[in-house]
Amino acid sequence: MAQESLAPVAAITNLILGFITIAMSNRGDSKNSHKSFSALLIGWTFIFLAMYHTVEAILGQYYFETYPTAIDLGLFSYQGIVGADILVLILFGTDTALNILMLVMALHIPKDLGRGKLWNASIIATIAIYCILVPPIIFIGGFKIMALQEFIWVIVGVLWIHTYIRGIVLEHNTGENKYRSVSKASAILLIIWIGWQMVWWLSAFSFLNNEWFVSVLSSQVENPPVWWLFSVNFGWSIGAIAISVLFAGEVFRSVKRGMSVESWIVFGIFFIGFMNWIQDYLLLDAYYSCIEGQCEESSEIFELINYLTSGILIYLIKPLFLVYLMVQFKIVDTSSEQNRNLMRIMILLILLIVSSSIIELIQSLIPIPQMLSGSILAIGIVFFIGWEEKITSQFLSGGSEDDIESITGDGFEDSMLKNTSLVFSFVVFYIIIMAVIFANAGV
Amino acid sequence: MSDSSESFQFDGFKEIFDNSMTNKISAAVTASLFLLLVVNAVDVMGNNDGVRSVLDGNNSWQVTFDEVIITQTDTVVVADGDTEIRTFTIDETLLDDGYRIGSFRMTITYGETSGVPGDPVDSVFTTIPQSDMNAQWSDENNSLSDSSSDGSDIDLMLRAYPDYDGQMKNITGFNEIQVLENWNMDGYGIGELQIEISVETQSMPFVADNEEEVTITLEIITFKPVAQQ
Repeated sequence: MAQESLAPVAAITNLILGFITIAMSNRGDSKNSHKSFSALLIGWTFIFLAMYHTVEAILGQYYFETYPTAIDLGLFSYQGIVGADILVLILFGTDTALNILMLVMALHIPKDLGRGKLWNASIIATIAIYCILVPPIIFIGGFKIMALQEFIWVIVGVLWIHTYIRGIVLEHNTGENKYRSVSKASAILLIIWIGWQMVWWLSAFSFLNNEWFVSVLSSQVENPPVWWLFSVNFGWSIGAIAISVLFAGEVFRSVKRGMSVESWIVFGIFFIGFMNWIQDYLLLDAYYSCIEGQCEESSEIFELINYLTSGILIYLIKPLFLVYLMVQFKIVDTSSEQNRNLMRIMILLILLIVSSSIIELIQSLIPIPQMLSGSILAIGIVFFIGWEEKITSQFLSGGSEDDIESITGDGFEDSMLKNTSLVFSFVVFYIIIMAVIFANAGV
Repeated sequence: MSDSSESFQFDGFKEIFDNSMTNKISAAVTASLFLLLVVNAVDVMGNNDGVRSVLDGNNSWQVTFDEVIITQTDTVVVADGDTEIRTFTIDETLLDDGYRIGSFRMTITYGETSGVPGDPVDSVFTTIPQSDMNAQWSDENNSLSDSSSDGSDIDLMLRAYPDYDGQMKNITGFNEIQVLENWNMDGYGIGELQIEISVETQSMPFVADNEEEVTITLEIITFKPVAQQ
């Protein structure tokens, strides 16, 4: 049961979505500058995700496979192969940019927490300073510093968990639907950014993640620093707490008001936690194999379950939910004729990517002939083209007024929006140049 | 608040903390998060200590070998100018529990059997031909072919297990399983082992000496590895 990497698919999807979103961010008759800024943040998130997955795919094709956890925890050392080192350093730089983007997003969506020109300018300056300073610090000071960035996940997680709880509580107290929109947006954002950590919630509570981590610890030549050992749990812990809160919130809401699509998604991720816990339990011996026995090759079951859970959440759910967020909450103005065609491309692209990925997933489980899977995909394409107008309209009419008004905030001047894009463009080039310099210097 | 406001204003922050019930739940959730973080960190550090005690501890091991030698014998009468092939079948049932075959030693003995005083000793030529048996056929320490024309014993040797010479080895590893990994492989030395024996008789005139009796002693050297720190 060989699984094809989803990284190339994610790279192309995110790249196209990024360009479309950035193009749409500043268009529209009913332009709201806070939503324009939010769209820019999402657009650049797509671009950085595309950059990350492209480099990940190239690295896997020509050098070695890498996993997001390895990047987040800094589990690398210089290979002495310039090409591979450049790619790994780009991954570290891009991951850094995505971390600060996530923090900035948490400060703006669903609620703009600060206001004023100075605040907005300082946000853009913070992005620039963070992306300029942090990658070289990591390249020089040691890759393990990457793990400290997971503290951003904790801050972001706590913030969105709080806005989620507030939405649920106020909806219950007042009966107003606008609070559901806030809790819904917070839940979606939590799933987008830390959803892939949520699937290990039961292993985090039962400390089985730490047992898995023994396999990582036993590959460390030197005793890792205490601060690193403390940081490695940030991701799992915030993921476990976040899904527990979402689960409790959705159960409470389902009892009081009935289930929603978001409830099903949360219950699905919650259930996956059980599956992953069973897998962790079954593979306990393998995790200790390098110190208690003979090092075992990575298990096929582990690879497959990772692929079907974390893999899907990282590669497919992120772009899908970001588009859902934009459409549902009208972060881009979909009413304008200018944006409608781009929106069509976006929605059709998402549908195609999702259908082809589902076929690929089925193929990794049941070996069906490619002729058959190709035909199914072709049928899907014909269906999407035939019902394109209807599908697009259905997507665009999804958001309620409450959803649309739930994402509110201060205005940004046009110059600030331009500066934001300039800063991010600079960051892309800066990361690549820094990676080339440091890899060649072999620091 | 207009765009032109120069100062920092955190109305949004204030607004999200305006509900006491929410704040209480969030405080409890945040406290749980930090508790989970601390407990997990302590657990990881404990695991790390366990791992380091193995990785940074004494990883030098000495591997010694308990040897048991199994002997099989066969006798064959070879006519002058003929070649006889004798086959020994070696299977796992010969081995004690935990033992593997390290090497084979064959000793071919013969004497002048004509019984006539002064009759010169015959010449015996022996070869172990390569077979399907999983052994180290091209090992430089092997002695797969030899001959004798003075009645002395012929010693042949075939190494079955890779690098096995019966001598103690110094190996580094984190545990006994890793250290003994290379000494616990199955399948070596199992199968059929043959020996080809040719005879050229030397006889005095009017003495009938046209064959020789040859005794083959096969020693199967089996070993069991023992690791000690």
